[in-house]
Amino acid sequence: MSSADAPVIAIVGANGYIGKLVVPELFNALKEKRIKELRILTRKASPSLQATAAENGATVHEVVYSDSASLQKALAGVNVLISMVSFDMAYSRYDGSTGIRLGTE
Amino acid sequence: MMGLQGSDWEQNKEALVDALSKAKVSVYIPSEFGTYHYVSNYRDHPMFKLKAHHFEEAQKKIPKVVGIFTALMMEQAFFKPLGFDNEKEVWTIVGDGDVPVSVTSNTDVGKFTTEAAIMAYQHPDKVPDHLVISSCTMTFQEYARGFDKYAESGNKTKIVGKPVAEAKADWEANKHKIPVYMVRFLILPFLPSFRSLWRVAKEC
Repeated sequence: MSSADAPVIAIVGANGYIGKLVVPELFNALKEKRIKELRILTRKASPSLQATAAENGATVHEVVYSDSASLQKALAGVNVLISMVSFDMAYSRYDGSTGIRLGTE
Repeated sequence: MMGLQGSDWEQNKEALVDALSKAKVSVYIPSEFGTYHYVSNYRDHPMFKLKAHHFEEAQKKIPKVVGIFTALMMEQAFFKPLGFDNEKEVWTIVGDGDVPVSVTSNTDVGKFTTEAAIMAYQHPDKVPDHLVISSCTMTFQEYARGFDKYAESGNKTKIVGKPVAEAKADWEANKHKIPVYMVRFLILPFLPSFRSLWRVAKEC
């Protein structure tokens, strides 16, 4: 595989359970040049996340998830997006349109 | 992200798909990484229906959408609140323990997702829309023998089976009480008792 075929990958949910399993492997792939670039999208970039990303050659981009324009800017030139947001946890407080009580929080 | 309510995140997902489309992103791997709900008896659960709907909507706007699913995580599966009392060397399970059940390792999730993401970009036609990571598939009888191999006591794990009909009746009677984030456990043949489930829910 040539590096020209290597994708630019962006991720959301880097700090979640799945994110913490996947991110180290993405860092490895980045070092091996099987990924051209790795962008970590987050609402708020903590210093530790910035430092970890920088150590591994990735970049951190603050975004507003409800704002398509903000996301578009961060996604310009990206080939692959991996979302690892814990949807069911977020959803656990949902008590909306279905009328069914889904969570206890 | 964890603090968002479902309805907010639904709107955010729409914004995300819109942005992915406008930014011409080739491959989208949405947040699944859980039970393969498409083939479960509980696929009509509102949470899974929303997931399936999001997947379909994304497919209309993004060239390649890949859902990656797992079984219960190997490192979390065999613990007491789910019926596996390794201290007492007694496992309480649904059925007789002779049905193959998959588990997924933490390590495989990272490696597999990374490879799938790269491959879906380079060879989209070779990657199915749904991928399931199954690290190990054995019966509970076989898993128990694996545990026995390394048991310091030298004892064999005792397996106590709960009849499937009884487990189903238990589910029907209690499903409305179950926190949604625990549903992914329910659709596996793991849980012998909903009392166990409540203990898990309280610990989460």
